[in-house]
Amino acid sequence: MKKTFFTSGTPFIWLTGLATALGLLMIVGLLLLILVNGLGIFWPQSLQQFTLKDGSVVLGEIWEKETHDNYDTGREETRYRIKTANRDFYGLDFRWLKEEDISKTQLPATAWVLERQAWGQFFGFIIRLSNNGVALASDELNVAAQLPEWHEKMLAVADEIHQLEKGSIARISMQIENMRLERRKVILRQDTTTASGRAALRRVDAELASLERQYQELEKELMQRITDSRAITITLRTIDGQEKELPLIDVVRMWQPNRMSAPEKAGLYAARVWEFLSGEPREANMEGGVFPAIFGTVLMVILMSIAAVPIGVLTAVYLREYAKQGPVVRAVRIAVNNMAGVPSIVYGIFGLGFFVYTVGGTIDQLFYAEALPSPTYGTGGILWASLTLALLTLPVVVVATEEGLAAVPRSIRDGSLALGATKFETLWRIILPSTSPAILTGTILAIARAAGEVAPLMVTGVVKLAPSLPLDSTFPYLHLERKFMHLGFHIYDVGFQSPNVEAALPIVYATTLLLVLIILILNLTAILLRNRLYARFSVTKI
Amino acid sequence: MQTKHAHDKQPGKRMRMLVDTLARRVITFSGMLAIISIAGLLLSFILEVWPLWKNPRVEITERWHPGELLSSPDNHIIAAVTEEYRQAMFLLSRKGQAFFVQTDTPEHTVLASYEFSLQEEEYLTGVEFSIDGHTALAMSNTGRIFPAVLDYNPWFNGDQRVFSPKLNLFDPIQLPGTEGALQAVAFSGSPEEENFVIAALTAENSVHVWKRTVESSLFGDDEITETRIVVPPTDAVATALSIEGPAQALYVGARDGSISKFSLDVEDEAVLLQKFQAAETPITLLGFLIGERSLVVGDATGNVSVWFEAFDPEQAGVRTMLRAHTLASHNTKVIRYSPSQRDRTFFTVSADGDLIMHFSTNERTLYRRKLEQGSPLFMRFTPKGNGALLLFPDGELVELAIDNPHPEASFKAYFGKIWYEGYSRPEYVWQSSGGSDEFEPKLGLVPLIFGTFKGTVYALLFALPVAIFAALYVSQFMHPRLRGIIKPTIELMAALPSVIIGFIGGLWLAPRIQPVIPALLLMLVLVPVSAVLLGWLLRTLPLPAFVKQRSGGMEFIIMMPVILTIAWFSFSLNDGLQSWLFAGNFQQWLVETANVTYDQRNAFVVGLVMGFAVIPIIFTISEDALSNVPATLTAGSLALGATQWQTAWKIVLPSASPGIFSAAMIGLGRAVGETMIVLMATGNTPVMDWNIFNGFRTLSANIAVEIPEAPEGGTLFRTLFLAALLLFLITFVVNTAADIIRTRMHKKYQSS
Repeated sequence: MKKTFFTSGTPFIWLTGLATALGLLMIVGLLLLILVNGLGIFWPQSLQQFTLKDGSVVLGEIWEKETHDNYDTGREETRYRIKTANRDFYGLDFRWLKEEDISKTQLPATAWVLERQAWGQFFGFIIRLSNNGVALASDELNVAAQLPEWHEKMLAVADEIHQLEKGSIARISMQIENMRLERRKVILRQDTTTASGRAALRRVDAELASLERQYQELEKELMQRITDSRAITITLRTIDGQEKELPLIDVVRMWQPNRMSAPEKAGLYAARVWEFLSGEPREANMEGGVFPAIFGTVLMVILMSIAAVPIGVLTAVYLREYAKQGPVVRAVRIAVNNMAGVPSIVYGIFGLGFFVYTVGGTIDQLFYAEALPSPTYGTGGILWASLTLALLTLPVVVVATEEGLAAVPRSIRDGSLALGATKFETLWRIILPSTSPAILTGTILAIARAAGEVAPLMVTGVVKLAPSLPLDSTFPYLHLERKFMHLGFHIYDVGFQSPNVEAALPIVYATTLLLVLIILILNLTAILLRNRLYARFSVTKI
Repeated sequence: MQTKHAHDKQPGKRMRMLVDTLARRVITFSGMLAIISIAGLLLSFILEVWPLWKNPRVEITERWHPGELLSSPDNHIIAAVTEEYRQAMFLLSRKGQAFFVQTDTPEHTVLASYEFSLQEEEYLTGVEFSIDGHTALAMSNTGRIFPAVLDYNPWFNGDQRVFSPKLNLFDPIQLPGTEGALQAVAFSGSPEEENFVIAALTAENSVHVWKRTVESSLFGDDEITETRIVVPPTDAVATALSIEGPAQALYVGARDGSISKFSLDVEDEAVLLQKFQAAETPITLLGFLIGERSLVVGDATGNVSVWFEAFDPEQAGVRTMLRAHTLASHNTKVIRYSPSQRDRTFFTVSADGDLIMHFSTNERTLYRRKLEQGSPLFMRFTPKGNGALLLFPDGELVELAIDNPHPEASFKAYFGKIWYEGYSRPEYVWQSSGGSDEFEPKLGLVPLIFGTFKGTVYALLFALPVAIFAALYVSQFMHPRLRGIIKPTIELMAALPSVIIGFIGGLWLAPRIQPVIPALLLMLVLVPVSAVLLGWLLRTLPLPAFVKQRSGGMEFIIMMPVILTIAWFSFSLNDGLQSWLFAGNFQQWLVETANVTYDQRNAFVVGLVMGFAVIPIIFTISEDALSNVPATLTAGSLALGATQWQTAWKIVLPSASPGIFSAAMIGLGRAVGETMIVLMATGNTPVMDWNIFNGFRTLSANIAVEIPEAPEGGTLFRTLFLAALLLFLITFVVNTAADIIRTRMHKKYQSS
C-alpha cells in the first residue's frame, strides 16, 4: 500500500530532524565560538603596517574582516577591524580600515608588543633604553639586544616590591587595624576613668604608636625602592611618530611578533596562558590573570559542599530509610524536588535578608561591636554566599542520594538485619558504601551548579576586585567574612560593567572558556559515575 | 537462654544500641532541619514582606503646656515646630515672644528667646512655615507680616548634640490696603534669599502680592525690585491661597469652589493662567506637598483632593491641572493640613477635630482619629516624618510619635494603576529611585511581571517547538546508536551556566543580529521548506536502495550541512534583501513604517538565548516521557499498517502528552526565574510593550539590579522581597503541578 508523500508523514520526520539538527548546531556553534575566542586570544599575532592612500600609517593586528554591499553606491565593500592598542595615544584600542583606503601592507620586523601595567598594550617601536636619562642603548638593534636582560632584572625588582607590599606592609597595616579595634574594645568594655582601664588604654596606645612607626619606616623603604626602580626607562615611538618614556618596570611582558618563530610563539602562548591562570588581574580586571576568581570559586564551592553534602545526605537517608512513608513524606519529597526549580535569585535575596542581615547582624552585635558601624559579618561574604548556595544545591544532593538509596536492593538490607546488625550498622556498613557513587554524583552536580551560579552571589558577597584572598597566612587563616571574586561574576562584571568593553572582551572569552571547561568536566565526571552506579545495580534500576 | 544472657552482658551490645538510637536521632533531626529550612525560607519571605501591609502606629508621647514658659496670663503659644531629631523646639507666642526650648530633657530648658517688635495693642494671629520649617511668616492683627528665619545650629560636644539656636528677625512688611487682620498668607523663597514672594488674603477676601526680585545687571550691580500687586479680582470671592515656588504660580481658591492659577513671573501683574472648578462648595484649604507639585485642596464639606499639572489627556500638548487623587473626606470644613518632609504623607484636620493622615500617591488613609480637644490651632509634622505636634486652643501641646515606614505600599500600588505626579492618567510604572529627595517612588510590579512573561513567552516560542520536535525525533526516529551520544550531549547543556549564555547573547549575538534581521527572516522560511523538500527529493530520486535505507535515522545529520548552506546563502543575500524590501536599512524601515525603534538588546535576542538555555531541560523531560510510552503500543500501531510518523504523531505523542506538558511547565519555570540571561541580554527597561524588538525588565533581573541600592528594611527592600516571593510562588506552583502530572503518567504506564 503506497501512501502519498505527505500522508506518509515523511516531511514531518524531516522537520523533527531539522529541530534536532538545529539544537545540535547551536550547541556545537556555541562551544566552538567559546573555544576559538577563548584559546585564540593568547596567540601572538603578527603586527601589520598599513600605509593608507592619504599617506598616514597604521600599525595593528587584524581582528575581523567584514564585507557588505553599500546601499548608496551598490558596490561591495570590505573593511577590517584593526587592533591598534596604544590607548594612551589614540583613546581607543580598535579602529576600522576600509580595504580601498589601504595602499600598502608590510610586516615591520622591529615592531614590539608591550603588555603594560597601565593603558593596555602598546604597539610600536622602542628607540632608546636609558638609566636616569642617560642612554644605555639608542638604536633599535642595540635596544633589542639589551632589553631582555634589563627586563629580567626589573621583573625581579618588581617581584621584591610586590613581596614587600603584600608581605611586611600588609601585615603591619593589618596589625594596626586590629590594634585600633582593640582600642575601641577597651573603651567600650572597660571604664577608662579607673586606673586599670587607663593602663590598658595606655598600653594599647603605646603599641599602636610603635606599629605606626614601623609602618612609616617600611613605607619609606618602599617609596625609595619604587623611585629607584623607575630610573630605567624605555622610549616608545608609535608608528605615527609620537614618543613617550616609560619606566621599564611598568612593562609586564614584551615581544616582537614579526620576528618570532612558531616554537617561540608557542612558548609565549603557554606563558600567557599561565599568567592568565595564575596571575592577579590588572587594569580594572581587563588584563592579567583571574587567579583570585579561580581561588574564590573553588573555596566557595568547597565551603558550600561542607554545608550541603552532610545535610543533604542525612535528609535523603531520613526520607528514604527512617521516615514513615506516607502522604507527608511524599509531599516533602515533592517540595524538596521543586526547591531545585526555584529561581536562584530568590535564594540570593533570602541569603541577604536572613544570613547577611539577620544572622550576620546579630553576630556583629555580639562579637564585633567594636568595629560597628562598619559591619564584619553583617555584610556579604564568602561564608554567606556559600551557605546560600548550599541551600540552593541541597535538593540536588538529596535527590541524587535518594536515587542511590532506592537502587540498593531490599534483599541486601534484609540480609544485614537478619544477621543481627542494627539499622544504623546496616546503613553505615552496607547501604551507604554502595550509595557512595550516587552521593558523589550528587556532590559533583551540586558543585557544577554552584560554580556556575552568579545571581545569588551578586547579592551575598561577590565583588569585582577583592583586596585579599579569603585564605592567607595571617591568623585565623580562613577569613569567612571576606568578600571574594568568582569566575562567573567576573564574566558579567568585566563584560558588562567595564569602562572599555571592547578591550575587555578577550579576557571575558578566556574566563568563559575556563568556566565552561570546569563545568563540563564536573558534569561528565558525574555522568560517568552515575553510569557506573547503574551498571552495578542494573537489576534494580528505578 | 544462656547464650542470650551472655550476649546481653557483652559490653558492645549496649554501645551498639546507643549508637543506633543516637544515629536515628541525628538523622531524624537533620531531616527535620532540612524540611524546616524550606518552610523557614517561605516564612522569612512572609516576615520580610508583612510589614508593608501594617498600618502606621500613632501614639501620644507627651502632653504639656508650653504656656507655662510665658509670664503674662493673656498670652499663649500659637506655634510650635521641632528640629530633625526632636531635641529642640521653637515656640512662638501671641505677644511676639519666641523661644528655643530643649525638649529631650524633662525640664524644657529655654535655650534662647527673642521678641518680635510689636506695637501697642498689636498681637500675632497666626504663622505660616515653609515646608522645610526654616522660614516663618507671622501675621499680626494690624495686617503686618513678620518674616523670620530659624536656625537651630546643632553641634557636637563630645558625643552630645547641643544647640546654639538663632532666630533671624526681618523688618515687618505691610501690604497697602491691608490694615486689618489677614486670613492667610502664602510665600515662596525666603527673606534671606534674593527672591521672596508673599501673598496675603485679607479679611475682605481680596488677595495682595508682594514680590522682591533681584536682577543682576551687566555691571555687576544687583538691582532689587519690590513690587506690590493686587491680584485681579476673579469673579469669585477668594477663600484660600498657596504659592508654587519653583513655577512662581499663585493659586487662589474661591467661595464658589473654583481655583484660579496666576503666574507671578511677569513684572507687576498677576496673569490668570487657568481657572478650574475643584469643588462644589467654598475652597477652605490650599497647600502643597513635598516637591511643590501636588496641590492639596480641601473644601467646606470636608472633601480632600490632590491636583497637579500634567498634559491634558484630551488635548494634546496642553498642560492643565488634573484632579489626580480623591482622598478620604471629613464631615465638615477642612481647616488645616500639614505635609511630611519625607514623602507624600500629609495630615488634614476638619473644624470638628477629625484628624486624617493620608498618603497622596496611592490614596491610602493611614490613620484617622477624632480629637477630643477639638481641632488644633496649629499642627505640624516633625522633619523626619516620625511625629507630629498639635497645639490646642486650651494651650496644651500634644506630641505624637508616628511609625509610618511604608506608606507607599499597598496592594493597589503594586498591582494596580497609580496616578503619579506629572502623569496624565493612572499608569503601571516601575521607577524606584530618582535624583532628589522629592522624588516619588513608583513601585508598580505590573511592568516587571509583564516583562517576566514577555521574556518567557518569546523564549518558549522558540524553545518549545525545537525541544519537543527534537525529543520526538531522538526518541522515535533516530538511529539508536546515535541516540546514546546525542541525548546526553543535549542534556549536558542544561548545566551550562546562564552567565555564559547571557554573555554570548548580550555581547556577541545582539550586535551581530542587528544588521542581519532580513537574512534571519529569510532563513525562517527557507530552512523548514528545505527540510520538506529534501525529504521529498530523497524519496523520489532514483537513488540506490542502501542510501534510502541508511538515511532513515540519519536525517538530522543530512540537515546540518543544509542548514549551514542556507544560512550562508541567506546571509549573502542580506544586503540585497535590505535594499529591496527595507529601503536599505531594516531599522530605519522599522521606525518609519511601524514606529518601532530597534533596541540592540531586545526580546528577540532573549527569546533566542533564553530559549537555548531552556531547550535542554524541556528536551530531556519530553524525551523521557516519549521513550517511556510502552513498546506494545507502538508495535501494535505499526503492525496495523500505520507509518512511523502516524504512530509517533497519533499514538506516542498523545500518550506522552502529560509528560511533555510537564516538560513545558518546567521550562516555563526556568524561564520565569532566569536572571543573568535577561540581565545581560535585555536593556532592563521596565516598559510594557509586546514588541519583539524592544527590551523589557523581569522580576528577577529587577531584584539583581535594585537590591544593592535598597537599604535594609526600607520599602524598596521589602518590595523586592515581595517580588522574590511572587517568583517563588509562581515557580513552586508550576513545578509542583508539573511534578504531579509527571508522576501520574509514570504510574499509569507502570501499571499497564
